[in-house]
Parts: sequence; C-alpha cells; structure tokens
Amino acid sequence: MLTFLIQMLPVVLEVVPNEFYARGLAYIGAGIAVFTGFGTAIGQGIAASKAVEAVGRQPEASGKITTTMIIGQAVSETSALYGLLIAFILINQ
Amino acid sequence: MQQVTDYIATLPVYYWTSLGIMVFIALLSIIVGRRVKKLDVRDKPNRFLTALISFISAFNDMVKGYIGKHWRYVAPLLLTLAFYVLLSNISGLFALDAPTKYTSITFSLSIAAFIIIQTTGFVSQSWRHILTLFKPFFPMFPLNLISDLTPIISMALRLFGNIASGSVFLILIYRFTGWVSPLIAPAFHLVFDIGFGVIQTLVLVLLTVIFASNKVDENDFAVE
Repeated sequence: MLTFLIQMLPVVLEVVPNEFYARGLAYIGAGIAVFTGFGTAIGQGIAASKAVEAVGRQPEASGKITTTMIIGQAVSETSALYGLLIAFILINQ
Repeated sequence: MQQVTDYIATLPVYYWTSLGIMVFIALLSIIVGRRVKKLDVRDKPNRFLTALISFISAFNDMVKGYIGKHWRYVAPLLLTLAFYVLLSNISGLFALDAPTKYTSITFSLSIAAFIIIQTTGFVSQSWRHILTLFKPFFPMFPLNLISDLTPIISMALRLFGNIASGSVFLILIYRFTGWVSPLIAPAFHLVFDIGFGVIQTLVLVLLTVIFASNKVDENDFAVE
C-alpha cells in the first residue's frame, strides 16, 4: 500500500490545478455544506416528537403547542439554511 | 431623463411583481375599508366581509396578547407585512417571479421588521428604551447590540433560504419529469409554494411580534 502511494505521488503532484479542478472542488464543498441539514433534521424531529407528547398529555392546548413548535423549528432551521446559502454561493462560482 | 428611463426599463421582473403586489394590497384595503365604513350596525355583511372582519379581529386579539396597550401602533404594520409576504410567497403559483426569492427584497422586509421592533420600544418607553441596551449591567452593551442587530440577517436569510430552496427544487422536478410534469408538479407546488409560504409568513410575523413584545414596558401589558 505504502509503496503504491509512493509510486503514485509524482502522478498526483503533476496535476495542474486548472479551472475544472477548482469547479470540481467547489461542487464537493457545496455537497459538504449541505450536510448541515443533518443536525437540523434531528433537532426538528426531536421538537416534533416532544410536541406530539405534549398534545397527547394536554389535547386542549394543541393550537398553542403547534404554533410554538413551528416557530422553534423555523428558528432552528436557520443553520441548515446557512449551509444551503454557502452551497449556492459555491455552485455559482 | 434618458438615464431614468433606461433604469426603469432594465429593472428586474421581481421588482414589478413586488410593485404589483403592493398595488393589489392597497386596492383591496381601500375597497374593503370603504365597504366596512358604509356598514350599519343592523346590516348583514356578506360572507367575504364577515370572514375578513373576523380574521382581522382575531389578528388584533393576537397582537393585543403580545404587545398590550400599544397594539394599535403595531397591528396594521404587521398585517401589511403578513399580506405582502404571503402574496409574494404564493405568487410562484401564478407564473410570476416570487420577490421573496431574492435577498434584496427579504433584507428590506427584515429591516422593516427591525424598525417595527425598535419603534415599538420607543413608543412604549420613550427615550428610556435606549437604557435597556445597558440592562443587567453596563458591560453587556455590545452583546445587547449584537442581539438586536442579528435578527436583520437571520430573518432575511430564513425567508430567502426557504423560498429559494423550494423554487430550486421545483425547477429540478420540472427538468426531471419533462412532459409528465403537469401530473406530478402540483403536489410539490402545494408543499413548496403554499405550505412553506404560509409557514414562513407565520414565522416572520410571530417572530416580529415576539421580539417587539420584549421591548415593551411591563406596565403596558394590561389591556383596558
């Protein structure tokens, strides 16, 4: 494995970073940036499950619980949207 | 003169959409206002007017619960903001260019929300509103300033991100499905235009009200 890497090293180093290289890296970066949705999805799922529990315990307050849940989810969604924004910026380069 | 006409001719499409929405809201409110003013106590309003009147009184009650005494200052501004954001989110359905898809419009909306929040503080507690920046103790000033200013960025980018991601997704769906798209696209329009649009309107208005209610003096919450 190590000998193979050493053999491949000059081939790798001789790659000239042209515009396609930069574009490809930008796309990879966009893909990584969209990964912020991972944590946000988990957080929103937790919020929804807690809201379901609350409605089950107190069905008469369901309207207020729904509004609070939507607001909390939308606020926590902001981090994922920042990732999306970075991805948009990277794609348009 | 030539410059002015060139400038007007090269304005992007979403500016005209936004202006059209403004004109629509103005005409609607003028017509409804005239008809409500003509209404007598013994008259029976028709179904449209009844729905609008009950909606506006419910909205006023909601604002009263958050703002208290000075709700009359905040409620019309918020309702205008809500109508504008809702109509511009939905305008993708009518083959228009949704104005909230662009950051210039969403930033102006969030700056308007910021002005509403701050002026609510000034209306409620006059110049003492400035002292709330130094509230718990003096060195908290930069943190309070930042927490007042960040809603401008976060609200604008939230609205922009939701609507823009929905429209990008719809473009992808139209590309992939091709001639089958009239069968498949309406469901996604329902989710991304109407569903997200209504939720984002609710979120923007409720966040503005909640931030504004933080600035209100505690003695003003009692409604007469």
